Amino acid sequence: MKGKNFSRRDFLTGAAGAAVAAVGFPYFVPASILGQAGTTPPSNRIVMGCIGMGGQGTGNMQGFLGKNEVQVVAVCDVDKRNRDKAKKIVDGKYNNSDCKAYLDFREVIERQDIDALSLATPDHWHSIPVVMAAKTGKDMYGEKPLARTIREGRAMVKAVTRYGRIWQTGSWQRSVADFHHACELVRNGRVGKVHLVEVGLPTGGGSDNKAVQPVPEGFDWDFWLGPAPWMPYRGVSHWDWRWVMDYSGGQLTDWAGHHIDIAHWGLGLDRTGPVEIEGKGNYPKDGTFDAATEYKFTCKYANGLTIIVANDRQQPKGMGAVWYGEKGWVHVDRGRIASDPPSVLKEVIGPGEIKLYESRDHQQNFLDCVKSRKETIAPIEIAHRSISVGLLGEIAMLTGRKLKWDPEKEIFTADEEANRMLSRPFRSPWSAFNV
Amino acid sequence: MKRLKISNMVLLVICCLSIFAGNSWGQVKPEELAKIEQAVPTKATMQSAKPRKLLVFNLCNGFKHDSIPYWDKALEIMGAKSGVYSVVVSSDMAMFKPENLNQFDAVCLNNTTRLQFDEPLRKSLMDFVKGGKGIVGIHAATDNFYEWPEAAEMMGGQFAGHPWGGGGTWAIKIDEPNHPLMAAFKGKGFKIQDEIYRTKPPLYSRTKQRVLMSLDMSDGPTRSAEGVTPEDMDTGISWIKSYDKGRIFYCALGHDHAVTWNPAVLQHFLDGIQFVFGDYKVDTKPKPLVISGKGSEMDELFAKIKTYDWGQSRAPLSEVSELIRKAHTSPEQLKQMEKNLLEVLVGADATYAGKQFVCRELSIIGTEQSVPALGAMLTDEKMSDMARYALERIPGAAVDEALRNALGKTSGKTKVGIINSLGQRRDSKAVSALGELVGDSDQMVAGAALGALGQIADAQATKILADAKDKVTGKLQLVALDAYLKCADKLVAEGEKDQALAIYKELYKENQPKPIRTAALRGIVSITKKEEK
Repeated sequence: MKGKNFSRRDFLTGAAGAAVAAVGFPYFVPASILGQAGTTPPSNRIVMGCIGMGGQGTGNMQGFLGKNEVQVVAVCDVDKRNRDKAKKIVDGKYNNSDCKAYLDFREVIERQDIDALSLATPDHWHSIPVVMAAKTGKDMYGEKPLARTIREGRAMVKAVTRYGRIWQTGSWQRSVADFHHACELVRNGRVGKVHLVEVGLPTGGGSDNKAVQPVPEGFDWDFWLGPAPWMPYRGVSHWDWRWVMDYSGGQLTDWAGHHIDIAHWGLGLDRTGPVEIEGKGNYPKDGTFDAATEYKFTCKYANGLTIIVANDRQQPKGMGAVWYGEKGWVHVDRGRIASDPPSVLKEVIGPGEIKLYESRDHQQNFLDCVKSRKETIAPIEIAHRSISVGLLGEIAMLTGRKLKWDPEKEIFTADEEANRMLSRPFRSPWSAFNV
Repeated sequence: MKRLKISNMVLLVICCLSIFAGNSWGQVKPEELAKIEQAVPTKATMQSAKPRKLLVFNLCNGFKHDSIPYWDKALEIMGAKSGVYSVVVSSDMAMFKPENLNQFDAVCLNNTTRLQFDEPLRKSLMDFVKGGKGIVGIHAATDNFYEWPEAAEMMGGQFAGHPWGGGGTWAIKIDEPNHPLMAAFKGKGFKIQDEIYRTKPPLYSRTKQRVLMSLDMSDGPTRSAEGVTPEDMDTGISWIKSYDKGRIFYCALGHDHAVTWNPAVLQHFLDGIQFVFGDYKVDTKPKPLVISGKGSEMDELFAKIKTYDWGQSRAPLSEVSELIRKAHTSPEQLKQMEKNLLEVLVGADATYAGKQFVCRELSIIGTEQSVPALGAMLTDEKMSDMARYALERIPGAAVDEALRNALGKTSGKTKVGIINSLGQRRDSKAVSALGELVGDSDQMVAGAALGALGQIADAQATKILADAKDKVTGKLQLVALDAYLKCADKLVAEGEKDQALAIYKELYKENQPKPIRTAALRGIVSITKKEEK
């Protein structure tokens, strides 16, 4: 049966398939086994396509290019400069000119020889490719934040789950020792019962008022806008889209997938959400950019815990996640970890205690899971719950009201206006739901 | 004795003046003096109740502007030529002692910096202003009172840098074209070569002072000067305020010498000075950016929405959004706001960008009241996406009906958008119509219809998809199968396991595409597992 009826992926090995189907499928036979030439053992090669070739996407691609078991065969960007540059990097690596450069991501998704995708589009373009690619059986490494709206995120979770795809979110801090250690200490009660968590994310954003200007040659602006409301090109793309709420939610949503994600991990709350959210943000009232430059909101959880998310200047300990328990606190950020009492950090997690998922190479973890069909360290439901906190905070700040949230049904109770903000109508022909 | 002292002081001041005139930094060349003479207004705008005296104060403990002697001269000449007032120019803090100060009708802070007032002098100046006199401020007049918050508050702003440096040419818009103190500019904004002082909120605030003119951020160079932040988008240039019984007039212009022979600016100053004297009674009521939401102010604001275009200042849009947010607790106010928004939408003269803004706001507060106007836009291929942006989020059967009505009157991308919205709203009443579109010759339309049916996934939609999945070809096949899978998922959620299982089993058959089989198997397993429990 192997390799015959299921010429590409031997997912479904008789009765065994059914038993493990709930987590994934046990065997992975990469496309390359079907006879494509390669210098690495074909049984180990995962054929990848990369969509979104800006800074982050190119960086991720280079990470995958450095893995022997990966063969990158396609790059895609709506800006010719970006995709040409990416193709050059891939071709240089393989010393050939085989990598194909695409403008339209749908052509990459439709390619049957591709096993997995690396996705790094602007946030407003996160949901559509994922929902489409899940249906064609692609595994995906996708950037945080998972989605621009909570409804899109849920649609992505459903699609990836329905089709049994392996998903890794670019929340790479989970694969760093300090973060893992901090979370394990907190999970095992080393600071006692946690009652308060502070999450510090960067301050600031864009400030400028840009004039309407001609679209650069080779850049498909209308495609870049995609589902977002039409507007003329004003020099905003590739990086500073992050400060425009049509495309992103500023530093808050950029970093929610990092430090909020870590805060949740340390609490074991990464598959649920808060029940009450309230806060204030400073939204620029003029200029091109409208995402909050300063923000602070409080989330209450069903177990009585409070998480305060704010830009670092409004947090006592600045950036990172701090868990305050009855016996002390642990603070972790990139490149620093501290605790009170300091001895907490030296504690060893013994046998019989909670051991958190361990990975020290985020991209490798994805590739390993593509082969083993096991869940990654940053699976899609968790990514959805991490960004949900940021998005709920955004809605609370924009409405200026204290909102009650049902994390099971994922609706606000008794605030019809706020519920309208859980999704955004897409510009035709795009949809994250119907296609 | 006292009188003698004052006259001594005046003498001293006059001496100082002549010394300044001899200083290299203070030299006003004869030809420049001639320009000032030419430019100053020669008659009073208002009749003074009595001869007025202005103390022109120019002490600098911080940066010293070399335009100071120019202003000293200009103010002196303007007072004399117009016959409105006489001046005493000084840089001696003793002038603020009550016995000296009280002979004046107003003080002009001519580019003073970092003035230090001790307690008795603070009381003296406050009594002076609060008792019914006032202060005229030129340019750096806001660069003072760092240790005296009450006075900084009185001035209505404090220096916080100048992204718009001297030598640059900056655009100024007239916020109050009909205000008497703005008559000099005849309602027209202008460009001027000068340095502009930034005064940051919350000290500077339109809720505390009447701002007469401000930087025009629709001007490229002004908007994108180095160091400009979004907070600077409202940068006041001239303002007035009542302070107890007294008055304040401040104008941020006056760094460049040439400003002192700008006739319009001088006229503006003379009018401002007459206002501070109390001879020119004008409205000083603050006009906040976020306005009261009543009457003509509201009309003015919405008129700005009508003409809004990308690249222009977004401030009026932000005002409207803020008003809407604040109206949340009042259904009546919300209804009125919705009405105002709709007037922009149906008006023939509104810009595309203005209408888009309206649709964004209606998407949050729109009710059935909005449906006729938005519904009418659905069939217009240029406006349809925008109309849907609002409609898709507005609850109610009227919206569904409007979308269904537009279905037959549209084609191509416009139709696809409407189908997508119907799917997103899970409109069961649209199922029959969508079912007919499954076989549409336009693949994009057919695909959207299949997808929407999967989203609605009621019994009728399930039936249509069961049939359609075997008929459609090419790329549509996967879309149909995916939609059909969603129907099975929905049946599971509703507890209809047998029906769901039948669909999963059908989709697990070997002739189905691999991803569909994978998904179907997961469905089968999930049901079997639940049954085992």
